[in-house]
Amino acid sequence: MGISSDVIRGCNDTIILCLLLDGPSYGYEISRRIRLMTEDAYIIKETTLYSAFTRLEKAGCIESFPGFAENGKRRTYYRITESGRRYYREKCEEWGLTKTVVERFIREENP
Amino acid sequence: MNTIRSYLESMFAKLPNTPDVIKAKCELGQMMEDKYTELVSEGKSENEAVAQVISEFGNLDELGDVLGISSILNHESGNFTAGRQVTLQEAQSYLDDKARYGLFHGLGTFFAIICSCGIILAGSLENGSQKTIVSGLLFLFISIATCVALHTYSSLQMNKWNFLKKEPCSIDYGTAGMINDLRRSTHDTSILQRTIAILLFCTSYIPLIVLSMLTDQSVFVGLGVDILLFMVGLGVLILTVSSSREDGYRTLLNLNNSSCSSEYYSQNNGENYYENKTVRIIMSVFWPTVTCVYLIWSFLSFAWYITWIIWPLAAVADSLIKAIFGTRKEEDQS
Repeated sequence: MGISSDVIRGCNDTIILCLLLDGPSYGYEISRRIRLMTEDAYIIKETTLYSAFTRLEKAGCIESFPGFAENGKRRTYYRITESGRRYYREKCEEWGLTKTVVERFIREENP
Repeated sequence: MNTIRSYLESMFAKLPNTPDVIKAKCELGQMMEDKYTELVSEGKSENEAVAQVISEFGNLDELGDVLGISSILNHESGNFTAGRQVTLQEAQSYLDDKARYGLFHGLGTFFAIICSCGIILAGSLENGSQKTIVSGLLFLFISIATCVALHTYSSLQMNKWNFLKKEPCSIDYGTAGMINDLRRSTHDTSILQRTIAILLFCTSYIPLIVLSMLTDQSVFVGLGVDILLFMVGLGVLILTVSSSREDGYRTLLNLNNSSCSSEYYSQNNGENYYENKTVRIIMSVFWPTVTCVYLIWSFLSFAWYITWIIWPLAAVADSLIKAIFGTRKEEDQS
């Protein structure tokens, strides 16, 4: 069973910000690390990733800056800002709460 | 890589050229290119890499809000071509199934052609006992059973794709481009396969002639006929595999109606259509009838060495009828 994109949508920001905590990165690198860390359980679509970048940048959580790939090609890198870190901590707390709430409703069906 | 680029171009083709849209296109292009490069360096074939990149690209609807183009996207989806959209994954699994169908169907036909080998060999043995005849018959029945099983199985497997021919379906430009690339990449193989098959047909009688010249023992003639049947069977198998694959590509590329841009790749060398009703009826039972005539004549006369002549004659007749009475679909439409 694959992950429902509706459910994970609210968590994309958290995932991306978390990966940017380790240092600046670029689009494909992030999608690759998501795939590796989740062992192929979650493969983020390019469009999802890009719309998340744009939203986070507009909100001031991340900054983009031009960089160069190993082969000399231009590439856009992203780094997390101070307000991004704050937002990340909020999101983590929010997730903790969400998890405890939802988990109360997760049980085996009564026979 | 070109496929990916043209896929991206076609996705963005109807969007306005605002700075946001152009930036999005560049960024998405970068990501796709990075992913493609890595997949290829991991040892994936070009086609596999392209397919994976395109299937994981996502949906432009998601960009609607951030680019301020939701209204365009929504409007567009409203008047989108009717019918079932065949996705890239579906297209690929259809092609895989079609290839498997070709193999199974070809194997089935192969067994149908060589089914009489055992009995011919047994019949040509001078000191043949009853045992050899029985084992020849056994081979005949097993071959026919295998043939029927393979044909039934392969047809049943293809049943689930019937909707491609019955319902109105369409494929998007990217998928069409991808299939067209695939077809081009197998083009050389197809030509090679056809050449081998024709060579097999043309040379199939040589062992028989050589063997019957070298010796007049009937067992060698039987052996020669067996080799002939075997080679013809092999040729038919190769032809079936290759034409089934081609047919798969063609079916998919011809799905769209001409108002779609993906129609660009389509070729109208589809089936023949007969204006004359009698001819149509005759042609629909042409090959089964030929097969029946071949089997009946062969079993009644046991003149296997000559009855194969039916096949080339039937092929000539088939082409003639097509040329005289057949109307190509494209002419029909114009």
